[in-house]
Amino acid sequence: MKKIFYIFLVLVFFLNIFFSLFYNLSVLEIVKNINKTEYQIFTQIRLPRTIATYFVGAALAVVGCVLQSLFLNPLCEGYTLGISSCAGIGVVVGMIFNLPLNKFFSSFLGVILSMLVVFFLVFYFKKTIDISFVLAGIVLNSLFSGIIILLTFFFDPYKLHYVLLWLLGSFSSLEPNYVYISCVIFLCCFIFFIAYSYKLDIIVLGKDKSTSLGVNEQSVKNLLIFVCILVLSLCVSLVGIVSFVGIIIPNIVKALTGLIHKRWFIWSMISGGIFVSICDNLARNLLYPTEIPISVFTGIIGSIFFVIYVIKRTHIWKY
Amino acid sequence: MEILKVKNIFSGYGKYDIIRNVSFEVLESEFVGIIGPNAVGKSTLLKTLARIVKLRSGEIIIDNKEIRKYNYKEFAKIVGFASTITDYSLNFKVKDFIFLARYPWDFSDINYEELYEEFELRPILNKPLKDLSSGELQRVLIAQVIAQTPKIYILDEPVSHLDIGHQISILDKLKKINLDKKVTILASFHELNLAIEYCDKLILLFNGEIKKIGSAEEVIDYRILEEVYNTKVVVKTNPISNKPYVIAVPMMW
Repeated sequence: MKKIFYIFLVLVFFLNIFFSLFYNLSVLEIVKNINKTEYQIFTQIRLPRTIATYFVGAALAVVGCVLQSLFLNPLCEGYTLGISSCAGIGVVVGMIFNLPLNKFFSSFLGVILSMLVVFFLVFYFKKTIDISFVLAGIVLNSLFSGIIILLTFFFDPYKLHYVLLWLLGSFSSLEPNYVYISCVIFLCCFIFFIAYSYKLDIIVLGKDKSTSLGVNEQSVKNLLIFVCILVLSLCVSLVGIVSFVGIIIPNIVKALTGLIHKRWFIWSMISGGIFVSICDNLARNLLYPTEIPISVFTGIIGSIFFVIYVIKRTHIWKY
Repeated sequence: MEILKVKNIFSGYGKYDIIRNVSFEVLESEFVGIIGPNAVGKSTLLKTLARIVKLRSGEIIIDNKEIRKYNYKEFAKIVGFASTITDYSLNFKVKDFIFLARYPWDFSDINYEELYEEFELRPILNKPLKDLSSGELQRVLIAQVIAQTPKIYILDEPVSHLDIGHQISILDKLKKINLDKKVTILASFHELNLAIEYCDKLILLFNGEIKKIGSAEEVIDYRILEEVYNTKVVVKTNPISNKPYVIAVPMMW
């Protein structure tokens, strides 16, 4: 039964790649004439967009897995922890003041500055990373979402549409070179996460057990949180804020693979990529030629999936 | 030869020291029992030895090296710790959970089959941890420490949730490993008579200090026990092993 599902996932993976690359395009035309419009569309729009959807989906899903294991809470992800909003405020401030910064650096700066505040508050009052970090993230999320909306009033109406689209996530304005560079960084981070998967297996057993099995819990946690922040800022700078992927995908995949992190990560990445890519296909083709923000679909599909999942599995809240 | 030397250690959580000025020595391949009432620092002492609770002052020397000078992996090769009073409601299969114990040895193989056989783990190998009963979980936890193959086992209440049959069978296995493979075992007990039967040396803790240390005959004295446990006790001789036997006397007599 499980095997069939895995095979199904892999099949969907390739079918969907094919669909998003060659929908409404003739393969023969692309191969035959390199100078034609079809070829331009393929290399400048389709290819970067497909790659970006898969990598961003995989990144959001795997970061969700890591954060959930670090905080032992199945509702953690970049969005609920406020990391996405922090990155968002960085980008919005950068746009509003026309700062001469790359989107990635302004989002990264936004995250680092706001995370420093959270870390400072949490460590000042609590001295360890625990549930208070999650609560701080939720507060941060709503605070910064509010500030972002407030800031959008200062945009000129011409820019406003673009910002709103970006706030709900959109793959419509990608620079091919920026996509390829980010994909290399994503790939390095994925390899890093998989290399650390055994340590995470041990860390979820708690501080006592991980210390006695020879893992320095605190330093591994700090390192992983840092890499998660890096990956999420990159995601936000590429496509804006995509919600829910980091909760749904890891939770559903975990029911399939169990808590072996290596397996969990790999299958989460694959299914996260498929999920975001399908959502993006819907977003750009459903009301063609208008683009719908992708969070609309991830939100709707995600919540339906989640309701079914919660009804079917009663012990979901136990990690 | 001493494998573990503890010199004037202080440790604890928060503002207060729970362990105060404790010193003792443990010989290689000795079975040491730590006894005492609730909340006197048995767990804290064991966790301090396992480097989980930070040492405030004093020094602990294991294998001729101060414990703070070990790196994490090296230390895990020498000291294994299991606490059976921790809650593990995780979605791990028993097999994978035991496999994780090989992390300090970079997942090199051991004879798993023998281990599964000995701890009767075969029927529960593919069950997730969260579905185990507390007795099963306890067997799994001890099997995991054995799979880690350290020189010193530190076990926090290894038999507290078990029925008498499983208590005896687990302690028999630990004693056998203790004798065959020359490992050193430190374990805390609530059941005094089991501690007396199996341990070569007993440490009686009271209010974070050592009240009495020595062989069972030296430590088990009804005057000390009555003071420490705050109840009436009678000490007899066990007719089978000729070791002391403690009977707690209910108030109604």
